[in-house]
Amino acid sequence: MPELLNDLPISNNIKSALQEAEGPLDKLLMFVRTHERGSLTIMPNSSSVPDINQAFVTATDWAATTLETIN
Amino acid sequence: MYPDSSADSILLARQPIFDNDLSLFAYELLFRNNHVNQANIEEFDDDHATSQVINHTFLEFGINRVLGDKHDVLDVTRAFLAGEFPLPFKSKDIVLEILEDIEIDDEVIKAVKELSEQGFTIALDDFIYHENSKPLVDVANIIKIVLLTLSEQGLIDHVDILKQFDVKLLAEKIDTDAQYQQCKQLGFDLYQGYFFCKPTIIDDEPLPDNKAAALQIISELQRPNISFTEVENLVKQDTSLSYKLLRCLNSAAFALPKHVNSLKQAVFYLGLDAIRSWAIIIAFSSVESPISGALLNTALIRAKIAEFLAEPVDCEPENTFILGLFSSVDAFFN
Repeated sequence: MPELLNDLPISNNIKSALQEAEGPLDKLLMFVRTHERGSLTIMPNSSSVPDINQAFVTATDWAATTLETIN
Repeated sequence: MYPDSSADSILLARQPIFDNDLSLFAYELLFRNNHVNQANIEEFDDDHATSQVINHTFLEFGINRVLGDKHDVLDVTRAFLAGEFPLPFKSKDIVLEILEDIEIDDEVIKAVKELSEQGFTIALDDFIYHENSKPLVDVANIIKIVLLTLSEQGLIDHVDILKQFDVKLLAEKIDTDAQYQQCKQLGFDLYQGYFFCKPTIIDDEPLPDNKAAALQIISELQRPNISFTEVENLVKQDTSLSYKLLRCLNSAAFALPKHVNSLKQAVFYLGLDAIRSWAIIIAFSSVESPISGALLNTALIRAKIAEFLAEPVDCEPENTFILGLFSSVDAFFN
């Protein structure tokens, strides 16, 4: 992730996850990236697979509705 | 959630497949088994559990929510082919993928022919050509090839042989733009992978002004405790954003009791948080990119999943939403 984030007013947790792959948000970021490849190597600590499936389906539905709304 | 707890370890995901114009051709639904969390691995029946999740996905979640109007690609094992588990869907728009570890015999060929006659599109997964597989190739519509399983010459030979059949060639596990270009030149028709999420050029070139400005506005908008006046001023900085946001808020999706002409009027009906979220999404979507449709969709899904899973990891949902959104930003701003 390039330096373009440096001057933006976003929290340091987000910056360090995106730029250095560090900090409390990093594992969540790794999870969303690997999940779309169908990988189970990184799982959020306390979310069960059915919770994740539910989040995935709801998010997919929400994204489709959102894209329709803004287009 | 499922009648049988073994299905609780099947993770659902999907991967996009693109055609030569980089238009979305289909999604492949993935059902991955998280054996790690499985107490009784010995007793685990993969096909049984997968069949439950497929049923659940199709019947309860509603497959349209996962696939939209696109084709769907589903893996099938021998047990499915042999009819042990019913396929809970109609043939239209469904591609059945015959897994590479299924031994090709008369029973399999007969089953695949029947499914093809019912109208299913047939794909062969991780395919490597040999004489025995010819009867299946004759029935198949799509042949999937994993780049890394073949040498460069092997790949060229496969394309030469398979192009003689009436099939579409699909290149799997395409992770970079270079791989996509290479396969396109060789004569492939379809491409599966997340190459579109990776930036094609990595360098220190400055961002174009409009894109840098969009990122700045999004970052300002997501600050906690932002006031209405601040949101209003940020949106006003970008006339296109102001226009699109008001047009969106006046759309049928919001069903406002009357047409609104300003954010001040809109905030009365929808509240500041909603206005702010939509401003962020519209600002993000305005950044053009060759395949921004798929990329934007991916970014939004990442953001929303991260928002949902914020609590278990002890983070603020607003933070994790932005994290997911920005996770693809290097590809977006390419």
